[in-house]
Amino acid sequence: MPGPGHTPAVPAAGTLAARRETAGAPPASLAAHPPWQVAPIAAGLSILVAWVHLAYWQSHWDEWWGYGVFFLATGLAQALFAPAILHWGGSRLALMGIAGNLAIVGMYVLSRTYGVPVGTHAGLAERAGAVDLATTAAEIALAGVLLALVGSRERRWIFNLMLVAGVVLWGLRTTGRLP
Amino acid sequence: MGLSRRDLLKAGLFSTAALALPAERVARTELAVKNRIPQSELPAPFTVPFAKPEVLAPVARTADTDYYIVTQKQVAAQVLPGRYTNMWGYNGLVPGPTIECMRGRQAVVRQICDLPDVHPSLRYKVWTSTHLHGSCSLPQYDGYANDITKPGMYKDYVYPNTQDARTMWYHDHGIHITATNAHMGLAAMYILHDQAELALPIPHGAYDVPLIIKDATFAQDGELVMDDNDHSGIYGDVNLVNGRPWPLMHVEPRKYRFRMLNAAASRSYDLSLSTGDAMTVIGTDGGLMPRPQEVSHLRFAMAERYEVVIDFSKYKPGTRVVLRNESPRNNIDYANTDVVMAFEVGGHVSDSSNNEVPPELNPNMEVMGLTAADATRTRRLDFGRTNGAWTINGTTWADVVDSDYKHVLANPAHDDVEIWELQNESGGWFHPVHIHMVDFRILDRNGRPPLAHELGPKDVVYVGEGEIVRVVMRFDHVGKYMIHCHNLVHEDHDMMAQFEVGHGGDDPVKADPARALPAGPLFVKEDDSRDRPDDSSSATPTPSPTPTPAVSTPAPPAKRSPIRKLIRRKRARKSIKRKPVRKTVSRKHVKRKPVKKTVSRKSVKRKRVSRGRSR
Repeated sequence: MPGPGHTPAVPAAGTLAARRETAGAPPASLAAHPPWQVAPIAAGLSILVAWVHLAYWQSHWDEWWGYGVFFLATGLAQALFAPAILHWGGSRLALMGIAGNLAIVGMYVLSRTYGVPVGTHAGLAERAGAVDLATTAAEIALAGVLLALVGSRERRWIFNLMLVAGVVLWGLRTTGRLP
Repeated sequence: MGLSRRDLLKAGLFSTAALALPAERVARTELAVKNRIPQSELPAPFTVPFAKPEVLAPVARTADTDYYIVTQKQVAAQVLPGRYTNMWGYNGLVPGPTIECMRGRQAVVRQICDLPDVHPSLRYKVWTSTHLHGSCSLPQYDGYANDITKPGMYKDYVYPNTQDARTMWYHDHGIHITATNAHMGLAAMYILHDQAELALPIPHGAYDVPLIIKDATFAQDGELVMDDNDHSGIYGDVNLVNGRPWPLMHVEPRKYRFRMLNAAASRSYDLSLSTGDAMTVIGTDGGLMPRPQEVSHLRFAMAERYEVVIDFSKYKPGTRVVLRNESPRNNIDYANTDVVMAFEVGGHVSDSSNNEVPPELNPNMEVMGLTAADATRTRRLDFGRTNGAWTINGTTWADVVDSDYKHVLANPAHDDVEIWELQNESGGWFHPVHIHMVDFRILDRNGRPPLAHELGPKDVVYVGEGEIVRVVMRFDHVGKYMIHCHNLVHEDHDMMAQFEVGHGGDDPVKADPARALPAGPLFVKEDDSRDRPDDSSSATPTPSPTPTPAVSTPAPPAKRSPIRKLIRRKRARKSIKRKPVRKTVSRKHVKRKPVKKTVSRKSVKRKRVSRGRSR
């Protein structure tokens, strides 16, 4: 549901056709005309993960103020993102949502493997639990849904960044550098 | 939006990493924890009979010294009915045998390490160091963490027993593996009596009962499960008292004195009686309190000792009184960790003597007379976490080792009185802080008076979430001593530091290190006239014919000279006939060969910390 003045980035037709032949890439028109369900689903997922962060901000504040602030800010941002994506939609907002949620996912992986770099739990890997794993899955799903709102060029960038991040993480794990 | 297979692969690679890597880490430890015996297969609380730990008899006695031999060995113990658990025990007993001594008679305890070279399941290299907790021992006999005894070695510990009567305990203190060593069973009680205490009409003998309380988790095969929850602590689903799960003790309708010791690695308790009645606390870590204190709840941290009188005369025969645990914050609780044991009241009193709690118990103990005005200095010690390590004022025991044991957090002069402010800014955990060698008095807690049960001499203090606790103490023995959190997992990783009283004390690592077996004679026949005040009765040590505790000799004034004599004798003996002494583990050895544990991230983390420090 693109907002007013939205101009999705669409690659040149010749380039797109060549890619479609070789890699089965999606047609350019999809980003410009995403299914109507995308924004409501994204909003619902964002509310869900926001609720989790807001529910846990106090206990994290008890451990260290910085953790509490992070949870509060994250929860508020995700909560505000829901009405924003419903009202304005748009590629730019979707890109912000993808970047923000994937950054949170990255922080989560860090906190459950190496440990966060600051605060009273600095360097201490926390134990993953069902709630936080489910929340992370929802954030990944949210990022995936938001991909429908961005142009194919940005989408390609995001997929490539995910590939790099995935390779790095699995590489670190298989070489024993990730605890 | 259509997705190509390639896009799905890219996204999937990241997504699986984000979800699978954290989950896999948990799965590794959970596999071990999930393998624990289900609640339904554990014994129901209060179905196992209560038992007291054995009392260790001295192997010999001289005029002023009792000699003991203790062998640390692995044993298949039947803790849970029908299952055997590989544990480590002093003399193969879990808990180990109680040593009872009389004030003024020093004790020499030979600790022989007959443990396996490698831990059977955690696969770490084994060493021990034995700390007599509550004793003002010389530095080399204090269980200094790096003064280790490896399998195949032994060490003779000399305990002065010059302090007031008190409940002490001896337990492992080996560098980096204290938590698992002690959790395996290397802990036991050490009771010091004196004439003043024995003269009080408080319960004695059969009515003076040790309660060594700890928790444990058992796997299906009976073995201990030791998950340290990301260095937070080891918590069990079974409460053990004297090695028995939730035991039932039959008591007479009269007063009993319970010497409670929290020997858990990480669990604190909040004890109360199911009847709601008060308990009378008469003693703390450092001995009898000036006056008894009535409490309905007892917050009880690891390594604390409380002597508590419970009066069962108020209950009808057949009444069951449950010792409950309303768990303090930041423990991991299970279905039945809310109860510890139960007492079933009988109808007959076989001995009604010593059935009182007088209003004054030990009014003249020096430490309880110390005030803030006596202090020459106030120091602040902050217990926190820095870069993943548990720290004191931002430092760890690694800093002590790296400095070749020179780094100290405090250097009070001999006989100085100081106030130490122990601070825990975190809301996420508590720290029972143990200061070696001294007794201290708690001045206040967050500016408020200490809790009622803390109004006695202490050597461990519960520094709760967000608390600042001020303690005052006199430093009356020279040398280097440790201070650390008694959550043993925190201690191992690496919330431990040292202070030095004065200068020139004995070196805790080099003064009298462990030696290789076979061991020489434990005691020296007193035919050396230099050390003998006269030529009469204190001749050859007499092997003790029966396993009775040595509690008969009157207490002479406190003095250190017998220990010095013994050291002189030992040193003379060394120079004559001993083989070259095998060194204890070196600093490099400890750093280069970090301990391996089941949870692989632990060893990885330690390596990482070590690398960071080496840079």
